[in-house]
Amino acid sequence: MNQLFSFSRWWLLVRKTYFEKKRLYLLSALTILALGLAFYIVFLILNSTGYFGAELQAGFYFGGLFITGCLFASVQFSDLADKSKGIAFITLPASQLEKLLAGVFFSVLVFTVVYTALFYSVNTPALKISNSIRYNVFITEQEYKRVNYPETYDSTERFKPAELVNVFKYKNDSSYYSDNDSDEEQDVQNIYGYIWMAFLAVQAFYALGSIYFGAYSFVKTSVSILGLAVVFFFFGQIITSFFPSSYESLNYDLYSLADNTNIDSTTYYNLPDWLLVFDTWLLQYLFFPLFWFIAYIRLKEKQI
Amino acid sequence: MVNVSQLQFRYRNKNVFDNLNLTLQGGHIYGLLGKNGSGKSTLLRSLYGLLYPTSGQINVLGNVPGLREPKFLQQVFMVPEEFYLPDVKMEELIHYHAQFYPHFSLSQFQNYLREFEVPSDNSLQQMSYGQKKKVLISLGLASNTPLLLMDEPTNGLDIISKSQFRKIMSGLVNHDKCMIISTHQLKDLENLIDSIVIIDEAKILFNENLEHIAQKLCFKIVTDTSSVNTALFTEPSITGVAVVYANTQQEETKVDLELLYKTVMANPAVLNNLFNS
Repeated sequence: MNQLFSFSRWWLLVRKTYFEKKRLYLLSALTILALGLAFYIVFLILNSTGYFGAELQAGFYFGGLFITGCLFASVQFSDLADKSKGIAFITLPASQLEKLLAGVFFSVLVFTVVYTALFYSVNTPALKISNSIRYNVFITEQEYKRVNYPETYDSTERFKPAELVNVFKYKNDSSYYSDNDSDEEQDVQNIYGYIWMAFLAVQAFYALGSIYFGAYSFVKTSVSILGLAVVFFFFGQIITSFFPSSYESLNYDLYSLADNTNIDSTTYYNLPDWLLVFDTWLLQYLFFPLFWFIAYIRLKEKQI
Repeated sequence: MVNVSQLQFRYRNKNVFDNLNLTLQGGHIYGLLGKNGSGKSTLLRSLYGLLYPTSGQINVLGNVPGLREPKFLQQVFMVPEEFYLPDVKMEELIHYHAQFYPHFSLSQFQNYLREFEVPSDNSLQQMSYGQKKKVLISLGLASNTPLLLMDEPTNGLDIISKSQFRKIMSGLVNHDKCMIISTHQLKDLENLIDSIVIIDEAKILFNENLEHIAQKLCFKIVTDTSSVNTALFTEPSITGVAVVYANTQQEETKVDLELLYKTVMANPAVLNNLFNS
C-alpha cells in the first residue's frame, strides 16, 4: 500500500467528504445563486438601457469568483480549528497528501465548475433581458428619428446585441464585431489567463490560511494579505530611496537615469526579454503550487 | 506494542513529560490515571500522532505515529473526550468508515449498538450526546484495531450504559489487542482493566498489573486502629478505616483502585521500593 498517495483511497476520501458536507455545499451553491440573482436584478433595474458588454460580464464573473472562491477556500480546512473535528480529520486513515488533494479538488475544481455554471445560468438570461430592453429602445429611437428627424435616420443601422462572455478567453468588447483583431487586441488576449492564475494563487493562500489560522481564517488571511501588501509597498519605497534622484521608471521594463550635469544626456536601461519572460512565468505559475505546497507542509505539521 | 522512550514534551514552558518511558503490551486493558493536567490526554494524542514530542521516540505497532501514515492510522482508533460525528445517516457513516478500517465488522457493530440499545435507523443528528458516544465506542470496537485509545469513554453515559460498556469491553480482551483507557471515573474501570499506569509530575509514577498489585498490597476496612500504624495509606470510611498494607502475609484481597491511586500519590517512593523488591 502506497503511504503517500493511492488514487482509490483519495477517491474514497472525496466521496466521504462529499457525503458529509453535501448539505453545506448545496446551501453554499444556493446562496451564490440567490446573491447572483439579487445582484443582477438590481443591476438590470439601475442599468436597464446600458450596454452589458462582455468585459462588464467578465468583471462580474471574476469579482464574484474571487470573493466566493476565497470564502470557500477559507473554510476548506476549517475542521482543524475545532479540536474534535480536527482529531477526526487528522486521524482518518488517509495520507495528508490525499487530504490536501481532496481539498484542492473541492475548492479549485468543483467550486469553479459549479460557480461557472451558476454564473452562466444567471448571466445568460440577464443578458437576453438586457439585449431585449436595448433592442426595444433602439427600435423606438429609430422610429422616432425616422418620423421626426429623417435627415439623421440611417436605415442601414443595425442593432448590435451584447455577446455572452467567454470567461476562459479574452476578447475586448470591440473585437466582438471585428473579423480581424488588431495587433494590440491580440497582445491582450491572454488577460483572463493572468486573472485565472491570480485567482488560483489567492485562493490557495486562503486555503493555507484556513490551516494556519483556524477560526475566522477569512478575516485573518485578508488582514495578512493587506499586511504583506503594505510591507511590500514600503520595501519598494525603501529600495527606490537609495536610487539616484534622476532615476525614473518609464515602464515596467524601461528605466532612465539622467545626468544632472548634462540635461541632454540620459541613459536608458531596458531589462532583458528573458528576465521579463521569467518574471511573468514566475508570477503566473509559482504562487499557486507554492501556497498549496506550504499548505501541505502545514497540514503534516498540524498538532491537535 | 507501544514503546515510548525518553519522551520530552513541553507546552507553554511547562514540562508535560520529562524523559518519560513506557512499554505497553498486547492482551491488556490499561487504566491511565493521573491528576487533571498531568498529561493523560497528551500521552494518548502523542501515541496517535496528533502531537509531536519535543524529543524522544514513540513507536506504536512498529510505526512512528507522527508520520501519520495510513497503514498506522488504520491500526489505531481513538474515542476522544471531545468527539465529532458527521451529520449523516448511520448507513452512510458505516459505509465510509468501514472502507478505511479493513478489519471493521458490521455484525459486531450492530451487536454493540443492540447491547447499548441505540436505534440504528436514526440519523446521528437526532441522537443525544450519550447515544452518539455509544455509536463512536461501537465504531471503535468494531474497527478491530490492535490499539484502542479511550479518553474518558464513560463521560456522558448513564449508569446502565456504563455497566454495558464494562461488559462489552471485558469480552474484547485478546492477545493482539491493547486498550488504554484514561479516566477519572475509577469505579467505571473496576473489573475491566488489568493494569494501571499513573502519570504524575511529567513521569510515569506507577505501571503495574493488577495481579502483581494484589500480590504486593492488601486492601482492607478495619475497625481496630492499632494496626493502622503499619499501613501505607489510611482513610476514614463509614464502616471503619480503609487501609492499604504491604501484603506480607500473602492475603488475597480485591484491589481497590481508588485506594491504590491515593496510596501511589501519597507514597510513590515507598511503593516503587516495594514493587521493585
